[in-house]
Amino acid sequence: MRTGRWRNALTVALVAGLVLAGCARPETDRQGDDRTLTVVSVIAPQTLDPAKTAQNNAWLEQLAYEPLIVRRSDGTLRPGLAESWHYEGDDNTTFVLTLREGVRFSDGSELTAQTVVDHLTYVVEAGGQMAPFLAGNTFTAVDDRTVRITAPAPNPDFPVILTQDYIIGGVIGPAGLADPSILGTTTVGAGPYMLDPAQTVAGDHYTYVPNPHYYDPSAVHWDTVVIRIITNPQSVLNALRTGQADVAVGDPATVTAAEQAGLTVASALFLWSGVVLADRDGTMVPALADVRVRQALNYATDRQAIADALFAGIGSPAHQVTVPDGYGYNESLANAYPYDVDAARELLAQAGYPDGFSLAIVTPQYQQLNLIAQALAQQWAQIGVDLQITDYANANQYAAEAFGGQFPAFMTAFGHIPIWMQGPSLFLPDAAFNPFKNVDPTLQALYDEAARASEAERPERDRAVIEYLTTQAWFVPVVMTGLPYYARDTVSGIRTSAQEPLLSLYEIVPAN
Amino acid sequence: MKRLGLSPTGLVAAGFLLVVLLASLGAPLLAPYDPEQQDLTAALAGPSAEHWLGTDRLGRDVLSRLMYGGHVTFIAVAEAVAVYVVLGAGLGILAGYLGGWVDRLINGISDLLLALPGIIILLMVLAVFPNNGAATMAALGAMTSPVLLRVTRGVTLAVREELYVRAARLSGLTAGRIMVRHILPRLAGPITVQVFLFAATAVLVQSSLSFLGLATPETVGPSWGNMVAHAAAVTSQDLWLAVPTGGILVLTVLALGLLGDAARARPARRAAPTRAYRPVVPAVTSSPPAVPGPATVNGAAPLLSVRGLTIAVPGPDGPVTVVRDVDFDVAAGECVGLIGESGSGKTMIARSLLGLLPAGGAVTAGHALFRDRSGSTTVDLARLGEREFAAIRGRRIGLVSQEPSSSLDPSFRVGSQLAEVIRRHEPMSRRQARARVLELLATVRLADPERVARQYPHELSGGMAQRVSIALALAGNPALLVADEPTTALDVTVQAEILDLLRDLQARLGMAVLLVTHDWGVLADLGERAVVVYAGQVVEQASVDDIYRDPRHPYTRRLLEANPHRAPVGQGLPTIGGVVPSPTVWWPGCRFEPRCPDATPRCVAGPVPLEPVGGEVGGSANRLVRCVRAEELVRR
Amino acid sequence: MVRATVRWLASSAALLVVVTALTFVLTSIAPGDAATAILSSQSGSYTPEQVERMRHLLGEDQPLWARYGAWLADLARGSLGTDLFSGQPVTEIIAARLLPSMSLVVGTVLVATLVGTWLGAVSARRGGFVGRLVDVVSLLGFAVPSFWLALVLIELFAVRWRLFPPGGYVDPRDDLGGWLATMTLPVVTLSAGAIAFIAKQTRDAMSDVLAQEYITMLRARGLSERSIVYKHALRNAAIPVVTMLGLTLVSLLSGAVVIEGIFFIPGLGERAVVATGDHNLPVITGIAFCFTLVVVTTNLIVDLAYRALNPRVRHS
Repeated sequence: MRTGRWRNALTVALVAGLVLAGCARPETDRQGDDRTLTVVSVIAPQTLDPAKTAQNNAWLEQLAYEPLIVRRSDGTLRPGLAESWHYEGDDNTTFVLTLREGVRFSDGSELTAQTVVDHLTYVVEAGGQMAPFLAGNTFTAVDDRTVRITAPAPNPDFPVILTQDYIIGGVIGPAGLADPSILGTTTVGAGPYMLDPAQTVAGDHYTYVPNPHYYDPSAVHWDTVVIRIITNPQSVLNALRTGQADVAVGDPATVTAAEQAGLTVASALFLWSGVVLADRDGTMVPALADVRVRQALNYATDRQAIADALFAGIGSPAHQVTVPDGYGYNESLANAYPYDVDAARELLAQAGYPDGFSLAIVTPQYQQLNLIAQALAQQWAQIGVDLQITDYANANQYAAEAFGGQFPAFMTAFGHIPIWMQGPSLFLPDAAFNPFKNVDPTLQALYDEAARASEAERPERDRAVIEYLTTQAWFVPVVMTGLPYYARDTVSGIRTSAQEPLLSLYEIVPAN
Repeated sequence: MKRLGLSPTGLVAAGFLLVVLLASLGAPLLAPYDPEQQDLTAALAGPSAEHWLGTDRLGRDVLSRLMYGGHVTFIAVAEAVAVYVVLGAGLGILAGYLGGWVDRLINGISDLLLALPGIIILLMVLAVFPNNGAATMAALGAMTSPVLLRVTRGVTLAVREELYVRAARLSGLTAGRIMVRHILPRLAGPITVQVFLFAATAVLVQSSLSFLGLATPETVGPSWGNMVAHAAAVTSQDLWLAVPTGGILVLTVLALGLLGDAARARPARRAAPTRAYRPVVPAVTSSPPAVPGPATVNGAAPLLSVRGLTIAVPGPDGPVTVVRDVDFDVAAGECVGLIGESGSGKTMIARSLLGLLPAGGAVTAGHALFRDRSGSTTVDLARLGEREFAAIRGRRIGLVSQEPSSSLDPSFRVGSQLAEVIRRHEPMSRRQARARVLELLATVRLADPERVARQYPHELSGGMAQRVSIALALAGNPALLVADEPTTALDVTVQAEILDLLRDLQARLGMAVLLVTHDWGVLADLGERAVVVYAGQVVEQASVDDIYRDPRHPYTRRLLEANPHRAPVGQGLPTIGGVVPSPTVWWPGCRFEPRCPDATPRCVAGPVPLEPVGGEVGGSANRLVRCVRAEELVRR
Repeated sequence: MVRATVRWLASSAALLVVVTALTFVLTSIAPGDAATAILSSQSGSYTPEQVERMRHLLGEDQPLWARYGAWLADLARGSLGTDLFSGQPVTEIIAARLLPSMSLVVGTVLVATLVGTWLGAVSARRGGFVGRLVDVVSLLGFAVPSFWLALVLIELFAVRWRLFPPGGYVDPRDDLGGWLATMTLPVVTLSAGAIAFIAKQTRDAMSDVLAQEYITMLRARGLSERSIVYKHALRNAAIPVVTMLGLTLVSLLSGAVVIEGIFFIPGLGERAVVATGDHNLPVITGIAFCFTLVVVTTNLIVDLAYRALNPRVRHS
């Protein structure tokens, strides 16, 4: 009977399918024969060009582009492509690097001082996120292995900038510098690995294979490194729980579950999340021009409640734009703005806004920022401040409008970085996070002093800058959180510290 | 709305939707909490006395947020449905009514809209009008409107061609008036159905977009979609939050879908037609004494012997008897005609022999003894189950029905259908079956059997199709062929050919034929004996000759007089006044009495038996009449 | 035959033009542009001059019709332009993401058709309780939002019981078993609604068919119930069901967007969402073009199947 034959064929197909599916080895079993490291990142890079990509794509860059100086997980520095470095003179304007010998790029070309000079020049020209740190600098190839960088103003943080954390320290090979358009989708670096475009699907996963020309083969621990992009925190957790990945960037929402699932959770305080009160000149919202108003907003924020509700166990109240034991942290300001609604109202009244005012704010949806914004809306409503929230799922849209100055305030989660670097990013007139380009001479002076300061004096100078920012209430920091990383027991070397809260892929090795 | 009252599920669904709608629209008054009111100390709390459905990550009351969120959902659905109906119904009516280039243009636009990749367009509309739900929903309605457009157009076309609408147009009503008065009411049903189904889709689409964060972000206010997204982020910590947020979506869409089903104006419940034989009332085991069966031509027992056959069908208040106490015989090789008006029950009698009564109908009393080929065993067709009928149908008894074009499966070639039936009754190889197919087609006098075998039913003329139908009935070599109005749907010349064929087959194959007809001409042409049926009863039984020459029953007489073939030219055609009584009002006495010019009070005094009546000299001996005045009336 | 082909080509071309032109128009009138998006993602702060330069670089300062014309010219040369952010050719992006999306969508169509028609046939044949049960299950499948169902399925089948991976995609050419494993949950999720729809259509069509005279006649000729229902009735009922398949596929394309995101399948739908927000015009247009091609091809296949199934149409 024809129907009988169809049914049999179907049954056979179904059984075959199930058997095949069952036979698919889950990735947990794939140890031993082919050492693959799978890590999960939560944001898809727009481009792989080190000069143009955002700082949160550090993992994708450091595998292929070894930086001049490498930062260990305990915060100390070790040689990368440069074997030694030092400042010349005592005003922190001249920095000299000596390159390692015999370094080759993935296409076999040699690393010379001129390559480094060309690379740094390109970085500045490309105008990416890190370019401001090297703006106006002169780069010279003193000889084949020596590079001199001269800055127009003191820069105490040259070594830090040139580590893997800020990407631009990863030198691009001559082939890439000659035609930067290829850098969007391929890599030309001197790192331990290189991108395999054949096994890469942009926006989904990037596969790296060992760089045959790498100068230290013993440091190459893996046959393949795959970086997967998974944007949903729950899915990230699931990927780890089921063995699809070994390491992942985590999220406060899933930390408890990760711990319960037996995953290693490494987290060092790193981010402060809160509001950037960008319109300090009062262009769009006159009220913000008054420091008392800004301070009132700080007093009206119940940081502990937000931390408990949204970041239980991994977050704590933040009053300064830095973290404990971090750059410029003032012990005395640990509780700079205790939750005090009356004090807030008082200040508002003094400033001439007894009935409050309306404030438009834009927020992305990652890092719980939209939830913090809603919590603030309710808290600030008590002092009459009406927070109008605009919420974008697309991070680029949020960035375009926040940094484009279309809102008087915006939510952000900002990483803890050296004060000298915070300036061009956060509060100096040309900083991205200062879209209204506020100029404050006092702040500028404090900043310049810190830039010039010697190693011994710097901590104090840094603290002065942070103190100013805090008392002037340029921001409303709400919580400090760590950036949690999750790992399975198939790998080890998962370490972070207060000095280096960003996990480096270099130190991850197989568990045995 | 009245239709909804019929189905309990429809009622429940409507009730649920009403409750949700009221809760959503009345949220400002009814919600226990402000939906934005946070309580950071009670985040992600489970259900409790204070918070019936628990709280979310900012400690806001889930129930209140669901109520306000419903507001968003219903507004969105309303927006989408408005555009959907206006465009779909509006354009559909225009296209169906005006026809011509308007129709073609609208159809072209409709095809275009249907082919658009919906999600891409929606994403872009969202980009153009960020956080504007109305624009997105309008776009959704517009893109889906072709579905409604097709339905509306179809109905409009059908209605436009109906006589009363044509009359309205002729009498000068404007197009607009016609559309409103005649077409719109007919559209109410189909539009309602489609609207409910579309509303369900709109809810799902809106919540999907919300879930993706592309519409109604949380910061603007709660919506069911963004509440699910909110819950999705913490399923590892708290699975409960996903339950009410997802649950309300599921239940609402379910309710809308159920209402769409309930609103579908399905006529009588289409119960599964496969169960064609489910006794309504248990068959009576005892039976009235059999009337002595007439001896057959050669003295052998009859092929089919029906006694006391009673058939009932389901009615609104219980089973209704439509055939009562019917007796007749069919001898092997004989052609017996069942003649009567429509509604007399003759088709029921014929179909019951094959167990093909319409859904729910059953034989409730009587026997239909059928002798098998060898002559030794008899089977009672009135007592057979479905499985036992399988041995009878096609193999011992064949059926040819009235409408040749609809009696063949339109999707299969003639040869394939024939071969299937042949091989079903007699295992043989494909090649043998092919040969037999051609044989059968030749038997039914089809020229070029090879060609016909390759054709599809829709390529055949009425006459050819009926021949094929006959061939199919013969495929199993049945001893009895039941022909239910086999020529009624054919034109006159073809009729004659078919009858000729049947006569020929009967003679050659020695096959008995039970011919059901209302046409005396057909009966005269083919039948040997006639059984006259009126109002579910046999009223007269005789040879065809006798019936024509000397009808005894008043009904038979009137029927013959009313036969157009016999009417004298130039005079008015006599008719029988009155109507056939409906089975629900049958009375024990003579059922023809109200219409009978010779009726007396004796006729309805009690049941009238079917009795032999004396024949004239030379007439056949097997005449039966159900009339108390049969003898008397002869003398007239 | 030739005329029909020409007509199909013409209408398909018209559709492609309409869709891509519409994409251009909508994307350009949407507030924001790719230039600012790129600049803010790269450098955060930027000057108006930088924006102008970037816009010029991207061609965003050209009039709309010129940009569309350029796109068409590219198309004639077999190119769909390049991603505004990374410079990757759009054809490459689509090529990499086409198979995952099609695996999901086509897999769903197959599963839904097989299961749906079977359910519909059973329900039409049995009626009564079984029929009602099938109705309810079908309706549930339709009512449950796919994203919610996905979350539940992942939590149970992937995380707790480790039967299937929680997401991702494996190329079938590398590992057929892995591909099947990763596709199972997404296809099940996406099929739920489609099965309901197809079961309902089949059941309605079957009910109509089973009430036809020729079915009774087939029975009268002694054919088995199984043959009548699963050969004759289903064959005739397939015609209206097949015509609905085209619609089903179009709506599945939309549903796939959400599913791809949750199961992190590197498909076209997921990319489309991101690209739309970024005003990444070449990518969006490329994907829209691709989707429309799929739709057009499906319509063609459906049309051919309809002709094959319906003898009346075949010979007219």
